[in-house]
Amino acid sequence: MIELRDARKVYEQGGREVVALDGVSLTVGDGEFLAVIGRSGSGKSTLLHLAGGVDLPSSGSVRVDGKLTSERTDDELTLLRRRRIGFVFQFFNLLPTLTVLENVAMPLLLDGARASVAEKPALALLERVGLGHRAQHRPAELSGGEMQRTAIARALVMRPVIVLADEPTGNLDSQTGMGVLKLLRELTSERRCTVVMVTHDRIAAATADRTVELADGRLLTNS
Amino acid sequence: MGALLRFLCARHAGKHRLRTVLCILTIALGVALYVSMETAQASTLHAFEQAHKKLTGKAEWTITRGRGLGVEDEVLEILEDMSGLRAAPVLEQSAALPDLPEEGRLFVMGVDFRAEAKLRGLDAGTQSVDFHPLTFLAAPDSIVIAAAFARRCGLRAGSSLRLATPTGVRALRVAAVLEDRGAASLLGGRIAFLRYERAQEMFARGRRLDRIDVISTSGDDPSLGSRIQSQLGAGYSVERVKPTNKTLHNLINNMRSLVVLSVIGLMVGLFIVYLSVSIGVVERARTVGILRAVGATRRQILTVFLLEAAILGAAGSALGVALGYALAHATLSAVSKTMNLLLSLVELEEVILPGEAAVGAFIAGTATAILAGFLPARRAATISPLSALRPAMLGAGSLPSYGRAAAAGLALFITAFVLVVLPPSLVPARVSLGGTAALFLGVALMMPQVTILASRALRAPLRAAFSARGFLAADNVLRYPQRSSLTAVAFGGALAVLVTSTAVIGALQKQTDVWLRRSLPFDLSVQPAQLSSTVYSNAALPEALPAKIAALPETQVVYGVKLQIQEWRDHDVMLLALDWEGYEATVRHRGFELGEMGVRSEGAMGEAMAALRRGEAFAVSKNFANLYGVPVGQSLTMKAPGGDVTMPVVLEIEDYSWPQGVVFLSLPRYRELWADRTLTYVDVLLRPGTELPAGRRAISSALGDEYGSFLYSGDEIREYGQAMVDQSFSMLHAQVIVAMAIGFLGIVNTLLISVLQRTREIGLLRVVGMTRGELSQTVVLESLFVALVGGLFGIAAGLFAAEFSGASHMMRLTGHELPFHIPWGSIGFVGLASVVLGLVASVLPARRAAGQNVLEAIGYE
Repeated sequence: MIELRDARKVYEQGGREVVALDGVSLTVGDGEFLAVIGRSGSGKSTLLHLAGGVDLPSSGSVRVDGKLTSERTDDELTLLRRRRIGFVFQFFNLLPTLTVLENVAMPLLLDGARASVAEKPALALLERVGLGHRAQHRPAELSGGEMQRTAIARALVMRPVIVLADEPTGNLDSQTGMGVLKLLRELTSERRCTVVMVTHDRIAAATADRTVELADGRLLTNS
Repeated sequence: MGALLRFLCARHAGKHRLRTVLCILTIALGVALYVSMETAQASTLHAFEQAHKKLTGKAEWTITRGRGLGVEDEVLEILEDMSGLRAAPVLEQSAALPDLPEEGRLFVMGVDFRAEAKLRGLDAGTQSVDFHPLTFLAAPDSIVIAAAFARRCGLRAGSSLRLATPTGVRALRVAAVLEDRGAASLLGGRIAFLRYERAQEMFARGRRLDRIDVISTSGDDPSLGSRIQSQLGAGYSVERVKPTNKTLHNLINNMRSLVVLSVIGLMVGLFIVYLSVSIGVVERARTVGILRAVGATRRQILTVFLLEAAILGAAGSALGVALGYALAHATLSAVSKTMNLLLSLVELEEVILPGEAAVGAFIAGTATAILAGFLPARRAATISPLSALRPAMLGAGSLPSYGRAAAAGLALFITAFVLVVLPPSLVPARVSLGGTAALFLGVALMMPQVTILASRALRAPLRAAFSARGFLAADNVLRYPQRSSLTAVAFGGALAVLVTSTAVIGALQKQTDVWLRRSLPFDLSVQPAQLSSTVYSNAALPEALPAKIAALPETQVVYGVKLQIQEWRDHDVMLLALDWEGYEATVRHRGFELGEMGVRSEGAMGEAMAALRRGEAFAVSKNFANLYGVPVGQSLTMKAPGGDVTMPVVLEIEDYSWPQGVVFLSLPRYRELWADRTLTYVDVLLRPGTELPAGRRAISSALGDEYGSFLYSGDEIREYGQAMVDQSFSMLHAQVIVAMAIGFLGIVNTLLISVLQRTREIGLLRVVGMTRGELSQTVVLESLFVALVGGLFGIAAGLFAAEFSGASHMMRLTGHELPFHIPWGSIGFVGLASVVLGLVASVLPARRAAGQNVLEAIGYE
């Protein structure tokens, strides 16, 4: 489903080259739940961005859903993200002016679905994450856990084949974090999604099928 | 502070160059509007003063009997008996040059050469010219001309020069050629001097002069004026020579009303600087937090942001002063043409930027920017050092409310509305203009709440029509209603100015068109000057001309018209004497009745006309009645050379000849009272069956070049009249374009800020699957939303302002009652301009949004 071959990503910062990812090769199979751990600056988020087509490798290759990301146009990558990939962020990134329901329905609306059509699966997902009663609220009225559950619902509303989660519990207390993680695990299993979760929380990583560790842009362990 | 300014502001300005430039440009345009207006006024005054100075020379006092009345030359004898003064008689006329038609008309001054040498310093250079009166007595047909004119026409001392005068074509001998200095440098040298006695005779002026200039021969003598006054009696006006002219001041007052445009321009500038500094504070909140954490005081932060606003304001103001000067320069020729239609002798050649206006505009622009920067600067000063430690997150999303601002705006609006609609007699013009600006401010205060309601109402339709892009655009407007609505108000304000000006101009054009068609019923008009020269020149035609033309078989009705500008109650009004029988016959021939021609009488029209024909009554123009409160039924006193003339006003006539009003009377009565038998126009109705070209040929050949007259058809005069109306608004058109440019910059600036404020959100939308194209469409929709709201506001406000403020202001200035005129063309243009400008304004912000780096946008380093 996701395949990185000798992927390297180099940024320029202050006139110097910074190697964020240094020749990483990794395959994530269909329906697999992979945790990527590592310290800050280890290259975890870069790996996630390459896997999501948000960024392209400087060298090497990234194949997502059977096709190299570097061979896709910007719009193709956008549509890939819209239809095949769901994102969950550490800081939730919900649109503050929209209701919870509209936030969840957003990818469907972007895909041209009529509001009445888009709201049905969105509401069903909200019910599933236990937020049906909050559908008409705005993000500012939710707790951190509720915001992240909304974000998970949004990530899954297009029935993606891949879910990329960047520190999904990083901004939550441990109890709420575990609840969110459990929900993510359940929902993605039900839908047979491939999940790549970046975290520096080893307890969170322990819930994954497999864990890889990054340090200084290199893959250390693959367990 | 320098380091803080460099670190916090200079780098930020460098990074956001476009926004910085937009801020500076907006302030610059607001300042430019004011400076251009002041420059145009100052240049006009300067030109007038220069001409006046050259024309009056060293004269200290001037004796008249009020404008248009003249002074008998016997007064000179009284003055000669007085000690300590030298009197210089002046008679001013203009004459056509039959042999030099390309030169137009020659301004002829009848003078006493003995007095002239000391007064106007007429200088013949190295030529030996004997200005002694005996020389001119010996050769009474001598004329002194200016060097520039002589060079162009190949004339020199001894040459012959033919002038067409009311008493026929006169051949004069050039006695001397004057150096291009003083009075001789006026009008490009088209000025000449001859003995006043000869001028009186040639121009059929009897024994009257226009004025007598006086110079003291015993040093500065402040009592001279009162001595002359007591010697001459109360019928004469003895005044210090000063460059004032009521028509000019009226013209300048009209120009001053454009100040409301620059106030609106600066208000838009204020709001754009406010937005820019506000967003700048948000962007630098983390930096400010760090600075606060490491020891910067609140006062330092406040000062640095205020300084930033002041620098933006100062840069914009300096640029604005230069732009204003350039704008005045560009519109100079139009202003000059307008002015020359109303004033003779004034040539606007030099653009004068008044120092106090430049400094005032600079201070106003800078102060506006500081004022705009104050609230954001205060917000910056309250940023907690903790903010440096907080992670970047999307905004909290609580929507602001502007209920209190809306209530205050409504109160201001109602107060301002009352000020604008109250009758001119109760509210001074400046207060009314201030009311117009306050109306704008009231709407600006109400608009955020209105925008919240409008974007809420439009959200569902936009979602239905454009799905996510539609409601995201509505939400962007809703999230920052202040920003969106003020932009709409600014843009709409600029468009409103366009709608108002076209509505007022359109109404005036419509009125004058109807008036020109109804009131100029003749086929041909013989005029003493070209239409392109001063419309109301003091050139004259002889009394005998109508009879000469009436003798032609091609003509059916011929009547004479005499007009002159006359002082009345401290105003320069127009006195129009008419051969009413001839005029009425021509009107009837066209199938009109006077009652259909905007003529109103209190009793029976026939009786009123009879009284007017008999010379027992005056008629007044409607604007005269409105301006001075002299309606039909009241009696009116006019000063005539023989004394005051009081007659009842029997008719009110819709007439647009003169912005300060017209008084009509019968020609025979005028001749009797003013002892002036010359004419200004001779209008001709051709006999039925006579084609216009044939009639024109017949009259031209009958007149030859004897009178130096010009022949125009009614249509030519009507077209010229309409062109004059258009011309007089050219400065306003230029100002409206600048105001629209400010509104446009406002939208670009707001959208750029909108995109910047949503950087992270845009990144998120891109991550979850919004394509660059879809993102651009959101920005375009937001822009269109703001522009269309602005356009609708502009149309509504423009029509409102035209109906109330514009019409009442026009009434104050000219006394003309304007009907409500809906400028459909402008409304269509505003609708189209809203869409086009909205689209164009969105191009850059949309490209910026679409081109944003997704990773940077969502906050990853």
